[in-house]
Amino acid sequence: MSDTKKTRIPIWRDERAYAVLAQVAFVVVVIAAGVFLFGNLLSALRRQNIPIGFDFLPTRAGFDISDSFLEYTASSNYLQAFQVGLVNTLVVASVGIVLASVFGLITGLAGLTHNFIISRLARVYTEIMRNVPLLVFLVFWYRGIVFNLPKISEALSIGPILVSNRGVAIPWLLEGALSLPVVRGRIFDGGFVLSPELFAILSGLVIYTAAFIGEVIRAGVQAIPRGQFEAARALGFTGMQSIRLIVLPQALRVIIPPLTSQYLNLTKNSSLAAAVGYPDLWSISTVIINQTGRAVEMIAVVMGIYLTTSLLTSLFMNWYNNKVRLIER
Amino acid sequence: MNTSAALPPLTERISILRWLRQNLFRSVADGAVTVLGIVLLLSLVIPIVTWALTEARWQVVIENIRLFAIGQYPIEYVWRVWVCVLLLALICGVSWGLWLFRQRAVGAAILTAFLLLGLLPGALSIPATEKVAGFGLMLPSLAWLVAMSTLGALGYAIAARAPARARKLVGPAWILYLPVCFVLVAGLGPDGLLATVGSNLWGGLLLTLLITAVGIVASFPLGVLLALGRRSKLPVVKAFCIGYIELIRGVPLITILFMAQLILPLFLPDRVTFGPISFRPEIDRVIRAMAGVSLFSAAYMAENVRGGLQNIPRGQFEAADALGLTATQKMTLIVLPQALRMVVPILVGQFIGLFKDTSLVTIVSLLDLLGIGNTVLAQPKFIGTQREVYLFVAAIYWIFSYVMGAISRRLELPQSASRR
Repeated sequence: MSDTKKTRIPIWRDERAYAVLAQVAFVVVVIAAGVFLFGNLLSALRRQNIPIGFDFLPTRAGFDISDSFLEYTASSNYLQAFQVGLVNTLVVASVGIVLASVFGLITGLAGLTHNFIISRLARVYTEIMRNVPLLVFLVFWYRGIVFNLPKISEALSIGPILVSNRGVAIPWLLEGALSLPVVRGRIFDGGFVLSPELFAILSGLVIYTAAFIGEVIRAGVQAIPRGQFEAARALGFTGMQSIRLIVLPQALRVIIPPLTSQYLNLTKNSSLAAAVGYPDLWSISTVIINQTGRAVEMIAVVMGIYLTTSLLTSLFMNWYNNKVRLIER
Repeated sequence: MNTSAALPPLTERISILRWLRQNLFRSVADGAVTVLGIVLLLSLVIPIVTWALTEARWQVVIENIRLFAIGQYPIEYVWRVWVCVLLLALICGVSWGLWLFRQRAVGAAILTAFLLLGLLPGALSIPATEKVAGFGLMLPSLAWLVAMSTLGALGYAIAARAPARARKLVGPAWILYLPVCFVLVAGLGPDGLLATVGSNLWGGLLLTLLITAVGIVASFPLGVLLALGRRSKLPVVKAFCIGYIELIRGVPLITILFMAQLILPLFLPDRVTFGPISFRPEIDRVIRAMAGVSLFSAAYMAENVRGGLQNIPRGQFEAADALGLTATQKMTLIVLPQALRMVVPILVGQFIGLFKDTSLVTIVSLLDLLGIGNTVLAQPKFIGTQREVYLFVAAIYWIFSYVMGAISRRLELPQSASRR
């Protein structure tokens, strides 16, 4: 008995020793590579006389921003410019997610109907969008379509919404009352006016992402066996009831994970706003980089912000997913 | 025996009226929706078609087709690009003959892609203003089509008759293909037949395809390594891989491309000295973009491969251990072949995404297909042709993505030995 205790595995045959050794080697290589690369980075920055740090943020920015939800003038500082960009990105991403969900749901349901024309329309729309790069669609949408909208004096009215090449005016709550936009001379009066850039990035992202969300929803509903629907009908549920109470709760489980990644995609894709001239977080950051040369700091901060947003979004969606997931005995 | 071919009962047979009733006019509401749909369709299609046939100035595309295809690539070396295409035809023919001989749909899709590529040389010779005696421009597209289909058929014939040993060469041929193309496009020496063509002259579809190809080839092994690392039992390696994957997946591609353009060069040492040789290391801007795209794509690749790895039953690992295979053998011979086979359709989907994502290099001022579109729009002669140019660019992206997607959906991989 005591013999077996004595015969220990020699260290050069011990897998655990190898595991520790491998990890130590890995850490050493990673740290060495990091030190080498960052050493190069620091010396390159020193050669170019670019200091490192965030001391440039409180200095005067000196550039104008066309779209801003915050107080901003050319004499504001870089930090304020950056905040304007952050708010713009958050607005585009959150409004975009809501609208894309609504249109995506419509597209997905349209693709599921028995109606030949409607389901074909939905199919063609998704097939077009899914095979074209977002950036190409955005520049086409902005420079080809939004630019060529009618002049403000001939603004198209779609219900209460006015559409022109100077922007889109929508009804809005102003001082507690609903204000409907009207055209007065060469400007919109009342309502809320989206600049052509904001309209282009928002509608472009929504049109593009809705196609993907529609596909996610269609696949999710189709994953539910027909029997479930038929059973609901047999129990005397109406069409709407069987969708709301039987099909949708089950489909949500399939839909939510891919839907989350579509939401994250939309948020990250809003960084293409620069292509349509909308001053989002990233496009303002590139202006700051061009003016100050502080590429390392700005890229790091922007990456950090996107990463945080992505992680928060996926945390929330995971929590929601846990709520709707199948609870088994 | 195909039972679905049997005729349905008389009452169920489709007549036009019956089809209309079932698919368009089930109820009054349904009928109203149908009418609305038709009105919507017509109100979209009629103006677009009228515009495309009467108003649109497609001249902008026709006159600049060479720019769209290859950018500023020197005309006297265009033939090198077409040699790449011909080689591709040959390898595709061989592969088709070997692996996919039963799948007509895939063959048809590949043929279509080649027909489109084959039409380009002919289209390239249209502008009469450039009568340089370039080899590629002189051959009309018909000759190219003949040449390519001959090579494809030749490859097919070779594949059908090749001994089993020769068949093993197809894999290496594919692996060699990209470096060969790269050498052909970039050139080797200062002059001669293979004179260097600087990457600042690559452009258009050529650049888009090159970045895509390099991105796929570079991110694939990187992604597999990251996926394996993420499943590793070593906590340090695992943490590193998770950190990398989640960081990259959490940020937009454009920030990574900017980092590759602005910061990557700063990471290099000022001078590299090997004994007597001392030089200043530099990476040109196309390579930087390729690096950015590959590093980005690798993280997504890793997650897809991980999906495949997770679906390998435990028994496979245990069986490999029981057979006394080493860890490397277990991975390369048992686990990875099965895992990768499982995720091929997903990977193709990701490659399509990568192909579309390369359009972002426009923002870091490379002249890919979209970038060329922007330069074409700056020509004074073609002011105001945004719709034509961007529609054309979108159509090219669409065709390539759609064909790749269609192939991957129809693709039936040769079954692994265990499933035969």
